Amino acid sequence: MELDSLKDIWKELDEDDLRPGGNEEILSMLHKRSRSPVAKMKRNLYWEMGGLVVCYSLAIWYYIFSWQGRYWEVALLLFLIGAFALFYYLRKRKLLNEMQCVACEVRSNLRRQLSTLEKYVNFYFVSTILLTPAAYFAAGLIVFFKTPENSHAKPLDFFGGAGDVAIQISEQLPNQRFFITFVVLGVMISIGAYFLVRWAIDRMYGQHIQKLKELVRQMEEVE
Amino acid sequence: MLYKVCNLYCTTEHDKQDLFQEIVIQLWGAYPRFRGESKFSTWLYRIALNTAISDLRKQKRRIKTVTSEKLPTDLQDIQYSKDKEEKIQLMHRAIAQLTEIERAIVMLYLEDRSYDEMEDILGINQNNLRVKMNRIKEKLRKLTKSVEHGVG
Repeated sequence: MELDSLKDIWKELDEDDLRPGGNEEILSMLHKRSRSPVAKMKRNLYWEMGGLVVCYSLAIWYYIFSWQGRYWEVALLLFLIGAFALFYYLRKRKLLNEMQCVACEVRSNLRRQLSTLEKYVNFYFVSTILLTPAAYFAAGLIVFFKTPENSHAKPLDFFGGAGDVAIQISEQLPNQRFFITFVVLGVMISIGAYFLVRWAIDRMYGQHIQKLKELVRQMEEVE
Repeated sequence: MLYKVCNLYCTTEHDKQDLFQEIVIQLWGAYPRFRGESKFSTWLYRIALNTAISDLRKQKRRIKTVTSEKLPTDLQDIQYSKDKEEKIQLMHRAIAQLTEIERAIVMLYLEDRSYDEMEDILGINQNNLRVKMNRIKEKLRKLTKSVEHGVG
């Protein structure tokens, strides 16, 4: 069968089955939410953002008013992490807004989607694997230096370099074993976070990225 | 035209309705930004095809192509004197075996769009489009031939 011989049939194709009943049906369609992947990602992002604001607000509230405000630095740390997370969500939202240009040429739209999604995923990956150990160690140190049995500890001199700070911490620790456990656990959490985030990203976006790459390849392949 | 895009990229009625709705929503959202820099039909095709091709949610289901061995036996026995309905069925089955990009090219070709407009819609240069078109024609010829003669 020749493709050209199908042109006439194509023009006569009966599409009544799909044709909406009328203006009302079209209007009802327009009131529904978009189910495109980008729209879904945006909705998920807003849910995450809302969840973050609620959880962090409660946690900050808790650390300010519990234990007679002894751990207010944890509240401050949570506030800083929350502020960074908000920046992180705003950046993700910006990338999602740039991700799709439905009125552009198909090829440029696919390339734009691919490059923006890769940026989005890289940003997600780097932010999470940096933030996890940073938050863990900062929170651990604050709790350690603020607990009453360690209240004799001198404030750290941060201008002596990282090695010097580590020596200062170890000198002030009454329980070396606890410190080693804390550090080992932190390293394990950091390594675990690295693999967990990689796995999660691959599950959530891996297939999409591969598919987009394949589509772009198909468009760009020169016979 | 929107219905044809849905028919081309979806197999189930539910998916077709979903895609149709999504295209309508995208058209509605994009219309205020339409400045007339391209022809209205070009703009329409771009949105419909971008939505259909980029909608990766159901592609697992959609991509599932039908190999000629799996086609119903009555289709394999179609004679050259097949009627229109059979031809349409055959055409859809053959097109379903093409990639998303090839389907877009075939649709624009069947819609009698010029290569100039196809380039504007897809962003593939005309020379490349002509080469791709020839390859698709050959591919479809082989696919339909194997179906017609039961060669798998």
